[in-house]
Amino acid sequence: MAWSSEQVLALAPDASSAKSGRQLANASKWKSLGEDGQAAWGLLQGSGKEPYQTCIELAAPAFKCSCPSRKFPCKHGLALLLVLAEQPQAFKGKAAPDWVKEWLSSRKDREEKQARKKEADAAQADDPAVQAKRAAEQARRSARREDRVAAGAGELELWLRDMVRQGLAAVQGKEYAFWEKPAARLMDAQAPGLRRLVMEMASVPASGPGWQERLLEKTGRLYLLLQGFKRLAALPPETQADIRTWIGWSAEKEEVLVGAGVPDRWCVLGQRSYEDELDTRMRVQRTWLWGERSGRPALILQFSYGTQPFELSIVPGTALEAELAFFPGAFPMRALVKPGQGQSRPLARFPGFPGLSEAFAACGRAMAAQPWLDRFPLSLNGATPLGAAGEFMVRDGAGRCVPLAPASGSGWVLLALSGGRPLDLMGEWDGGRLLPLSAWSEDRFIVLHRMERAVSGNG
Amino acid sequence: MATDSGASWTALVSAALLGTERQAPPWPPRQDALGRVLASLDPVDREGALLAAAGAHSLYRRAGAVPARVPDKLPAMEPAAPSGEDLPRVGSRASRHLGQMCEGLYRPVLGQWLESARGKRVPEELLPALLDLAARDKDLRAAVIPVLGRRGLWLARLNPDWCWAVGEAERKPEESTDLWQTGTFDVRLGLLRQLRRSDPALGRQLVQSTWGDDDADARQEFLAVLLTGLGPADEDFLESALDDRSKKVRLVAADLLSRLAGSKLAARMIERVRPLVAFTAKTGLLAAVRGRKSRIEVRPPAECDKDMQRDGIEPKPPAGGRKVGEKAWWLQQIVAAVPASYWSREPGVEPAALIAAAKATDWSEALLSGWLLAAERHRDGAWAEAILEEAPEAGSRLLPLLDDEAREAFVGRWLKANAGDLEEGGSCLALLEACGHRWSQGFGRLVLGEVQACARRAGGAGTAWRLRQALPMLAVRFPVKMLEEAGKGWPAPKEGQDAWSEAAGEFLAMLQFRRDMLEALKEIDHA
Repeated sequence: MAWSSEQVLALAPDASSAKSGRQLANASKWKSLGEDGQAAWGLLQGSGKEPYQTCIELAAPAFKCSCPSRKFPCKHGLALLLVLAEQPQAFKGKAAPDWVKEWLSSRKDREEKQARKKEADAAQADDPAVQAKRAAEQARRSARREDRVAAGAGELELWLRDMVRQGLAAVQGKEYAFWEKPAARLMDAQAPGLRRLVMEMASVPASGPGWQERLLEKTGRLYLLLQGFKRLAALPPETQADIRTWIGWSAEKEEVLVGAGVPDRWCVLGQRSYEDELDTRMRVQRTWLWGERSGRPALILQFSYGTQPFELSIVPGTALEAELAFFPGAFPMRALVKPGQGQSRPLARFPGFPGLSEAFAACGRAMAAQPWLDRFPLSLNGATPLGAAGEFMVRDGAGRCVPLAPASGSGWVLLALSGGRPLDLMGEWDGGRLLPLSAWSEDRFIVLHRMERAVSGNG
Repeated sequence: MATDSGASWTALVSAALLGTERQAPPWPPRQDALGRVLASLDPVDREGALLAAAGAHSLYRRAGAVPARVPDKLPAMEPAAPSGEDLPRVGSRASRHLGQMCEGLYRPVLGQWLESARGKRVPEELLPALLDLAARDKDLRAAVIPVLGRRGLWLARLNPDWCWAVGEAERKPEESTDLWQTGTFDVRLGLLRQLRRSDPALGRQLVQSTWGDDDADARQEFLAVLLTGLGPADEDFLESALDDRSKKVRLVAADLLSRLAGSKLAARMIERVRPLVAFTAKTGLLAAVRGRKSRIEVRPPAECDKDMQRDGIEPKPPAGGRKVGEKAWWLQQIVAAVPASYWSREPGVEPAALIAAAKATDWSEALLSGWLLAAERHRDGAWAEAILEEAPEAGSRLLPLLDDEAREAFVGRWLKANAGDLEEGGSCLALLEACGHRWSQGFGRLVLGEVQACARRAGGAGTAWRLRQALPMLAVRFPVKMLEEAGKGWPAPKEGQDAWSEAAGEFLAMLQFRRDMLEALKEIDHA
C-alpha cells in the first residue's frame, strides 16, 4: 500500500523521534535509495565512518537499522518511510543489496521459529496434566488478588467516609500526600483503577470555581463503584464487568477476541496519544471509531511502554472494513480489531449526530447504562464554531452550544476551516467541555490535535 | 448545563462541605425517581447516605444533561465568502511544506514559498499558525497578506493580533480616515504603509491631517514611511517639514528631498557643490597617450550656515568612530545630497574616472562616502559598481543596486581573486550573502566550486566555521536545477564528526526541499 506522511508519523514512538525523522526525511540526505516492492532501503551518513543501513519490510511494516538507537522504529526508519511516501521517485535502486537480503531472510527464519515454538507451546498446553496445574496456579493467584482488592476497597470506603465526616472544605489545603497515601495503598492492593480515580480527585480542589461540586460528584461516583463491588454477585453480568474494569481488572484480550465480532465499515474519526499521568513511561493512544452501518461508537485503546510503537497503526480520516470484538460491559465501547482486517480507505463522509440534543441524549443513555463513563465520542454534523476573546464554542443548527476545552488550541483552526459556516467535527466530551480531535470541511479531513501538539511543542 | 437537580443538590453540597460530624445530610423531598432513591437511604448512616446521594445526583445530572442555548450577548458573525469565490487553495504537497516551515523546519525559504504561492491561498488549517508567525515577524507580512485569501482576511478581522492583515482592498476610503484618527500607533503605521503602495496621495494627506497633533516620534516614523511611493507630489509637504520643531523630523524630510532628483533642495545642493568640487576631464585617446589624467580640485566649504543646516547638513561630525574633520564632514553631506546625474552631465565622464581623480586629493574619503550615499539614494547602478571596486565592504548596501548580471559578475570576480578570504568568512562571504537574487547556473557553479575547494583544503577538519554556518543559507538562492550537480564534488566524509560533510548535507537538504517546494506549488488543490 502507498503510505501517507500522516500514517508514517503515527508510527513514531515519541514526539522527538517524529521531529528528527521529519528532519532526515529529505532525499538528498540519503544514498543508494532503493525499493523492490517487498522492501525499501537506503544509506544515511551519521557520525560514524560507515553510513547507517536502514531497511523496511513494507508489508508489516518492519524496520531494521544499523544505528545504536533503542527506539523503535528509530528516526532513520521513520525518515526512510517518509521519503518513500513523499519522494518515491528518489528510490532508483531495484535490486536489494546483500545486507537487505540477509536481514529479510533472517527475519523470515525468526518468524518461522516463533511459529514453531507457539505450536509446541500449544501442544504442551493441550496436555491435561499441564493444563490442570496451570489452572490451579491461576485460580490461586486470582483468589489472592480478589482478597487484596476487597481489603483495599474497604479501606478506601473508610477513607471516603472520613473525608465527608470532616467536610470537603477541609480538603482544599491538603498536601499531595493526603491523596497519594491512599492511592499507593490501592496500588499494593492491586486495584490500579481505584488508584487512578483517587488521583483524579486530587487535582479537583485546585481546578477553579465550582471545584466543590465537581469533587462531590467524583466522590459520589467512586462510592457507588465501591457499593457495586460489595454486592457484585447480585448485579447483571455486564455491570459486573464494568465495575471490575473500573476497579482495575483487565479482561484478557484473547478472551475478548474469541467473542462474536461486529463487522462494519469503521470510520476512524479521532485519535489522541499522550503520556500516562501516573506512569510517564507508558504512552496511551485512544482511537475513536464509528460504525457506518451499526451507528455505534468504538474505542481502540492501545498502550506502549518505553520506546515501543503501538501495536496497531490506525490512521484518522480513514474507514476500515473490519470486525471489532467488544470488551464486555453495559455500554460496550472499548474494542479490539479482529485479525484479518480488510482494506482501509480514505473517509468519504463524516458520520455524526445531527444536533447537540441528539448527541446529549445518546451520551445520557450511555451514562445511564455505565455510570462511570468519563468520555464520550461526540461527533456532530453541521456544527458552527464561534469564538470571542480566545474562548470558543460550537453551536448546532438548533441554537444549542457546547464550550471547547481551552487547552486544545484548535479554536482558531476550527474558525478558519468554517469561515463562519457549519462544518462537521468530532471530539471527546467529558460532560463539561469538548476537546476537538478532527474536523471535516469541504470534503477534507483535518486532524486537529496534532496541530495542537505542534503549537505547544510537546507530545 | 445540568438538568434541574435543584435544591436537593445544593443542600447536599453545603452539607458535604461542612462535614457530617457537624450536620446531618438534609435534603428537601422530591417527587421523582431521584427522590425515591434518596428516600431509600438509611439516614442513621450519615456518611453512607451523603455519599450515596452524591453519586445518585451526579448520575442524574450527567445522564440528563441538555445542551445550553447560545448566549444572546454573542455578536452575530458575518460568514466568509465561500471557497468557490476565493483564490484556489495550494495543493496538499505544498500545504505539507508550509506546515513544516510553520513548525520551524527550512524556515529560511518560507519567503520564497509565499512569493511563489501568490495567486493561490494557504489551506485554512494553517492560517492561524501563519498569521501568528507574521504577527511576530513583521518582515513576513507583505508576503503573507496576498496568500491569505478572502478566508484569511475574514479570520484576521476576528483577532486583534492579526488586524495588520486587513488590507485596503477590504476597506473603504472613509474607513481609512476613521482608522487613521482612532487607531493605535502600530495600526496607523501599518495603514500608512499599505496606502503608500496603493494610493500615496491619500497616505500623505492623512499624515498631514494630524500633523499638528502627532508627537515628534510619530511624525518622524510617519514621515519615514513616505519613502514608499515617494514622488514630486510629496515635495511641498516635505519642504515645509524642513522647518519642523523637531530635528529628527527635519533630518528625515531632508533625506527624502535629497532622493527627489528634481527637488528644490537638490537644486540648492548642486549650487553648493559647484564651487567646491571642480572636475577637469581628460578623456579620449589623446589624453591617454599623453598620460594626462582627469583631475579634481576641492575647495572645502568655509562654514555650515543656517541655510545649509535647514537643508539637513549637520554641523558637528558624529561622535565616536573615525575622526572626521568638520569641513570634510560638510563636504561629504553635500555630495551625498547631490543627484548622481550631476557628475556625469558632461558626456564621457565615468564614475570610475571621478573616483580615481578623487583618490588623488586629500578629500577622497569624504567624496567617496558622499557618492556612496548618493548612489543609494538614487539607486544608481553605475555608481554603485564603481564604488564597490574601491569599497567591497559596502557590498550589502551597494550590491542590491546592481542588476543581477552585474552583481554576479562583480562577486564572481572578487571570489576568484580572493579565494582564501571566503575560507576566513571575510568580505567574500558578506558579498555572497548580499546576493539576494536567484542565482544563475553559471554563478552557482562558480560559487559551488569555490566552496568545495575550501572543503577539500579543510581535509575533514572543522575549519571555516563561518562559511559552514552560512552554507544552508546560500542554498536559499542557489539554482534548484543544479541539485544533482551540487551533490557531486564534495570530499569523501571522514570518520567521526565531519563538520564539512554535515554542512554540505544541510546545504543539499535545503536545496532539495526548495526544489520539491517550488515543484509542489505548481499544483493546485482540486478537492
